[in-house]
Amino acid sequence: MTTQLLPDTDMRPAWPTRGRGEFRSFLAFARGRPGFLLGLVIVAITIFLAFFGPMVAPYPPERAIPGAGLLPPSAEHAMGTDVSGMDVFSRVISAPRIDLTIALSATVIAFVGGVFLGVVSGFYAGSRGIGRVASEAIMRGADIVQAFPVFIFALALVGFRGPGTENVIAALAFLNIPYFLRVTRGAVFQVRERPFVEAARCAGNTERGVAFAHVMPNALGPALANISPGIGFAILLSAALSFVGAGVPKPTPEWGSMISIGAPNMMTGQWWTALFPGLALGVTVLGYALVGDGIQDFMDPTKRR
Amino acid sequence: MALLLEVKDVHVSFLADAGPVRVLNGAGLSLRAGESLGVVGESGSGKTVLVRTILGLLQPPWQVLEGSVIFNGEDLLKKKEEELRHIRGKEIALTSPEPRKHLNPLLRVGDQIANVLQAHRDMPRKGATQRAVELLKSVGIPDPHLRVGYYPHELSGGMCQRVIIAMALAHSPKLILADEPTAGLDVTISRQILDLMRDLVREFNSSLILVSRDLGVVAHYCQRVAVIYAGQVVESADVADFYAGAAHPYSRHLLRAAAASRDERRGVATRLGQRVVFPDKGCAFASRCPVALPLCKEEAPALEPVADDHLARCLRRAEVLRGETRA
Repeated sequence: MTTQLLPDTDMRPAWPTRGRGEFRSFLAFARGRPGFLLGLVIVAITIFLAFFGPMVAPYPPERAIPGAGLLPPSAEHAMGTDVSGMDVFSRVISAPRIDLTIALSATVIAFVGGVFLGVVSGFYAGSRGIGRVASEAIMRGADIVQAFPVFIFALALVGFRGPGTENVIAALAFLNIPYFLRVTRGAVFQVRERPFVEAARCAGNTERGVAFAHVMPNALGPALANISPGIGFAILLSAALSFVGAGVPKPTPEWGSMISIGAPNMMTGQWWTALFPGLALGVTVLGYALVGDGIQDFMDPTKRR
Repeated sequence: MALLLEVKDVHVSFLADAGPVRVLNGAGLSLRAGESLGVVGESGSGKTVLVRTILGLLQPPWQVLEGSVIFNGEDLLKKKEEELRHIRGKEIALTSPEPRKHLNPLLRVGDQIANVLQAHRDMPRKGATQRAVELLKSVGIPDPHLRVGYYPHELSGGMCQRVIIAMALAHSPKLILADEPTAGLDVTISRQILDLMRDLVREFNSSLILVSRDLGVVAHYCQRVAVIYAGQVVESADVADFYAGAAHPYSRHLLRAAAASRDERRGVATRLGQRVVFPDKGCAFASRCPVALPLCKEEAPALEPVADDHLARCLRRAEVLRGETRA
């Protein structure tokens, strides 16, 4: 009889390999954080609604039902109807399509622009010649943009270009650029002192190559973590613009414009027309902020546990 | 043989808040093609700064005050950044004492080697990666076709140093500056890395400047040695001559300290105790020198010949060399 010295063990490596391992540690990380999980659920729901909202809505969101204005919440209209007889629930769940489109595209544009300008301004700060001029010019530009009250400035931009989805996106993107710029610039200051940057220079890379192939990828973390709260901020601002009538044109289901349509009815007791889109807006912004916080913690390995 | 590199009278300062700090004080050395030179000295003596000066890597607050670095007949210190770019990595390559920190943590090592290749040569991506595999193979990394896809944190320190060497050799440079290539590696790996470097330098017909704190390493792997103290080269000699008889009291101390640690005797280091000072006049070593004369504090010695191909910066170099002083 032979003695088996070692039990039959699974020969797979104890540490999962890259990719799968990242996903697993992400799950483990999320499990211990109810706030982060809640945020993930909210984000998932808004994304689902952005794709399928109008399809799952019980009524066409832009069709007024004659004679059915201002009905209170009931089995037929879960959130009631508004002043022109449109079903509030259908409109609330159809709104993420336009709201998320605006917020996502504005944030992505702001991310790309902000990171680019942040790398340029951070990498060339303190150098000589044209680089320094560019770096200083970028920072003063950001100061100017941020010196104006955000909402007034957005209003002015949209007023200047006229209402419409593209113009709202452009205004929000422009206003968000300085945030991404500043966090990236700060990260670049740290990264550019690290030895591998000098090594890249030693290898004969151009300054531009060093900045964008070696420094930038290592300085993306803070900007990535800012995407999620940036989306929340953009949703809020685009709703605010619609509320004052400078955003998306009226019949389109959009939370801000729905609140604006419903506001006068609040006074006369029809609370449901403005409350439900307001709640949806608040919960969505909260969800994106929670996810942003969680991602920031996840990217710092010392905070993962 | 023709001189490949001649560093002459380089003065470098570091502009601190409290005022400029002199780091290199007229350092100079020369290197013939195909030669390997060991640069030894204690921490803070300016070894690394000297190496970085050669490549023109010093940026403010560092300041190169004067001097010249003649490489292949041209003064590198007078060159513009764009001209230097064509020399860095191609004609002169640098390796690092902290190999892992010198690798970009977010790029696969194969891509980093390809990046070096493509910096000086129009090369399709596929060809560059193929060449990276060959280079990894030549520096003795097993399974190079797999390792090209690894990130630096997935490799050990010794492996990272091999990758750095592969990058340094990518363009068969005329000169390799190896700044303490074995710092932080254990002795067996150090030995492998140094053997590898020596063999590859020979194979690629390059010259080598090996910065080290280990006199034994220099004795074994270099033909010439330069001792640097307080930002000056205090002695420069053929390795055999140097170990047979150093002509500068500081060199003698270094040699004795190396022997002492081997014999587990202590005391040499404590005798030197104080920190390095940079006097306004006189010899920089005078305050620590056991054989200093009153004149040493007044008159700064020059780097002058004491024997054939053997220079020392000491007024009493001849006596020290003959062993007449108890240094």
